[in-house]
Amino acid sequence: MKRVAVIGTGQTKHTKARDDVSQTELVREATTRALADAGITIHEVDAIVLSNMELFEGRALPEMWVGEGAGGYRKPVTKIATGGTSGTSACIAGYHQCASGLFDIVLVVGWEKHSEGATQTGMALTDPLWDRNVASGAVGNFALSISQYVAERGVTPQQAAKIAVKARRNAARNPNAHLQMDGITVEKVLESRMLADPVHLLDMCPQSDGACAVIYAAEDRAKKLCPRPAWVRAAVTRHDQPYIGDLDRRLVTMRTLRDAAREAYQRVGISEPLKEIDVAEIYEPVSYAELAWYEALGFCAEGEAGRLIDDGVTEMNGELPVNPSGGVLSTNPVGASGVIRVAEAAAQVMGRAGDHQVADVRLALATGYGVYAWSDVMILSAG
Amino acid sequence: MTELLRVSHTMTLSWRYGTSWYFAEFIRALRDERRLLGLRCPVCRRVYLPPRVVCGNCYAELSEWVEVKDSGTVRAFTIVHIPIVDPTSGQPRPTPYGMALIQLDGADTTLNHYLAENNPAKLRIGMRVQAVWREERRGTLSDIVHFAAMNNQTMNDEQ
Amino acid sequence: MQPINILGVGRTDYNPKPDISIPEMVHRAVQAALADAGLTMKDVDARVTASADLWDGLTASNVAITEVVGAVMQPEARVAGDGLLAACHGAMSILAGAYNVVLVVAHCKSSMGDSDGITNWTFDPIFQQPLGLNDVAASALQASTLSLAPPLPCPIADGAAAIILSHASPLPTPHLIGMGWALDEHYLGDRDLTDSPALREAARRAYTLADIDDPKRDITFVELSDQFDYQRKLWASVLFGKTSEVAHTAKTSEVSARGVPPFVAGLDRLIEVVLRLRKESGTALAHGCWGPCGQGQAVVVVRQ
Repeated sequence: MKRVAVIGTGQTKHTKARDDVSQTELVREATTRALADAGITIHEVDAIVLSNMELFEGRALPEMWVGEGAGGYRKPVTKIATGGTSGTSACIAGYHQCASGLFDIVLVVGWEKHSEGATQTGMALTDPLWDRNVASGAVGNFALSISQYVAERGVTPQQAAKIAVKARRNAARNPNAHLQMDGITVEKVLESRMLADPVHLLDMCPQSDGACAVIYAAEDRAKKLCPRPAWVRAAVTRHDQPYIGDLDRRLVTMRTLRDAAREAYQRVGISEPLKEIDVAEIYEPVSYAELAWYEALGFCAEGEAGRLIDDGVTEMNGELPVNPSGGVLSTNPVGASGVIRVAEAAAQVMGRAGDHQVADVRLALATGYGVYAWSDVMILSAG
Repeated sequence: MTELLRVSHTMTLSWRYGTSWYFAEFIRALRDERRLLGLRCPVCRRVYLPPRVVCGNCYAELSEWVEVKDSGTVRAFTIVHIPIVDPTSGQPRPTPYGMALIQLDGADTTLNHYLAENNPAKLRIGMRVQAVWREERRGTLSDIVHFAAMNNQTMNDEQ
Repeated sequence: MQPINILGVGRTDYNPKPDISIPEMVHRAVQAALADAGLTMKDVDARVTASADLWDGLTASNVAITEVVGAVMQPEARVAGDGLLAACHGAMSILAGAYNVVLVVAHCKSSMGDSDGITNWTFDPIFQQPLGLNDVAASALQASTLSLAPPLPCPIADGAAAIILSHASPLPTPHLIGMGWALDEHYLGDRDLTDSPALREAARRAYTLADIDDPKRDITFVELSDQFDYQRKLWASVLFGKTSEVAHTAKTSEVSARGVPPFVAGLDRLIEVVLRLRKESGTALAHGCWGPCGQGQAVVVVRQ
């Protein structure tokens, strides 16, 4: 494959409600910042890939209205929508478009403005003949899968709460993050309102308004435009069966993430992910999921995820910092959340992550999660 | 600065979903005979509930109906405390309520449904449950009110 | 660009299918495409699907077709737009070296919902949506700028279409040699509705890749997405110029895309082109459009 690198990223400030901007302006904000970061103008962008879940805002073909915010006027625009993985799938699509040789510069922008729509109504549009007869919602469904994971792995509410604390404390150093809670503690997480046993309010991701952009360049352009580009080394997608009941102990096995990571590691030549990867930005919709993803990603043996957080291995100063940005637990504009993972991983490689920069990042991992168990995995590297 | 305004739209859409032969048969048996039917994969022998066109693992077409019992084993459970919109009514469902992934006897998939019990201390993975049916059936999963522990044998785990 | 082979095509009819589920409908098209290509699902490396949540009445609606497109534990990208765009993306992922064989599938059942209501949601929520604009009303405006009578609404249509792309082929097949797509401005008042700069741009990009200097000379025939009856003339004049009406009419197939569902129409045009190129040599153009008054435009050039 042709070599392609991320040469710039840009995000809006993510908040509960951005009443001061339209969706188009929100997208324009992220786009403008990414262009400035890459040191290019919109005229140099050859193609655009967008990511958004239209039902959340009640839009049909939202790129028709919002596309101009990404400079889409008379340019090739493709919109990707695959649920929670929309953002990472758009990043993989943008990478493929750039690696095709047809385009030198490809812009990917994801956005969601949950405050403008009825997210719960959108989420409730599941299979009308099956799931729609049962009010479980995303929280209830996670809680079900978590009960299996807890039963088999013995992770504790305290260990999950540590994940929630890590995310919000990291977010306090990320000016774009939605939930910045420097003073959060394990006790406060466990005292927060119970949503669905054993998931507390502070174990869950929020809904945010926000947009995030990533700019890819083909090899020659990347080398000219960026002193330390983040090269794409692997991009793998795995989808799974349509109903939650089809999946054998979803969080325990998480076969899509396991298989996608295995293939990505193989392509890059990674045999010991915990040692070799310098930073990871993973899509953790709920605290417990991050523990399950540690196992699926091969950061630890099965049943060892709780120990990983107890030992601080994935904290900012640990062996493999996970989600220095604060992750999805701190910021979640769904169509943008996957793009944020890739943007943050790239910014770490480029050395542009600001106050949440991890030292000497050469190899970074980004993942996407969506639907019941769909996964994307991308690996970026310096050089 | 001019005061910011919000423009509100109430948007209403409705859809008519086709059942195809497989959901039509499932609904008929549920409504008319109070039977739950699954489809067995000819390759991996997995029994699927809900029925579908192909087994995604084998990419094999399904056609062999298998009757599944209305009793089963709890494979996962939770108590929901937040009001979640009940898609059948459009209104938040009163809380707290129990939910489970139930592997019905004869099925290889699990069914996401309500539990009669909402005290977590009385629930455990592996417990046996039985469907409680409504008098009037319409041919949807809502024909089952919820699942209740079998014969007061709450602690009587699966053999 | 390196030519991409079109190994197989398949589609359902487009009659309303109120009783048929989306997965079963898509399954029929996929099976037809696999049979046409002489392949099994094991031969397929990745899929690009095209559909839209609001038309399907499902959130992340490609969930419903995961199994019938063979995407379990496999890659799938879902383009929320026209199937011709999905074909372009599938071709690009092959050019990128990511996959060898890609299945492209588009579906829609316009009998399921309220097209006028849904397409009203396409317009910006502040200025245009409250006017009650929808695709039919916008097309009537476009027709009036061309001094034509208001177009008939699109017939209700349900169906799915599928094609299989590959960088290699054991047998000579029609191959995709050029592609381009673009978006126009959104606000109807910003646009010259008698023209389509996005279509011109999409065609320019496709011709550049296909090394076509003179489309009037080099393009043998054209399949256009004409959901509204006036559109065939409009798109043809944008592609070939108003002065060459005789030439473009001769080249424009009599097969109309009217009655092909949204999101499927562009891919259906490509299938039409492929089927004809299996019988006669030439260079053909398949066209797709989506959004109000064809705000989105795509062109694919195929040669045999």
